[in-house]
Amino acid sequence: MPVVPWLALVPVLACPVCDTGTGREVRAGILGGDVALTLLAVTLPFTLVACIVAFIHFGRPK
Amino acid sequence: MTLRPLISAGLLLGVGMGGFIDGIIFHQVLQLHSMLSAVRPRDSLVGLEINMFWDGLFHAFTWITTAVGLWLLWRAARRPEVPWLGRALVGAMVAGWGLFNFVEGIVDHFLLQVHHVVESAGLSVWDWLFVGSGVLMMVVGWAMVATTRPRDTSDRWVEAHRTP
Repeated sequence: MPVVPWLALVPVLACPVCDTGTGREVRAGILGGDVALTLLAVTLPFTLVACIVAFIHFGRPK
Repeated sequence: MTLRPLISAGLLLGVGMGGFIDGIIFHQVLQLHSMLSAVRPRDSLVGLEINMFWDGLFHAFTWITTAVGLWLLWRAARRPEVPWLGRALVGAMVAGWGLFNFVEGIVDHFLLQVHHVVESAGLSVWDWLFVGSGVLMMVVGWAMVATTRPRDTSDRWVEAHRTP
């Protein structure tokens, strides 16, 4: 099985904006069908904490 | 006299400092607790890069939170009715860090299950410790704020040299 070590030595250019096969896979993975859920997962904790801090800062709404 | 502006600034700065410790120590140095590790495993170059992207977005929001915290602290410092109390500020920062760990742990680890502290273990004792540490820091931080006295020795110099 000499092919596997040989493949491991091939440099792969990959980033979200790279115009390569791997780059396209990365882009597709980031912007795939579940992007909305992922964005929610990243932003929801910040949003909830911001609401709590705003409540403490401004006090109870009158 | 009101402590609210100082507390809100401290809370956001605590979220920011805690977020950066999370990002630097866990995401980058230990390479654990990545944003999407439960749904996009970090077992390939593509998986690693996707997690790196969302980790980066998390760090961007952490940076914004820190910047808003600094802005609130700047505003608080210029208000004569806000006492400049280091113990209250540090307490609020500890509470803010804990609050974020608690909220993030509940939302991302337990409800949405997009990642866990140690992904190879899945939802494990590490996640409970993460959320538990958040509760502990909230209690300790809030106790520090609640027991702050306006004339703590350490704050006398700042009070005396403050621009009215």
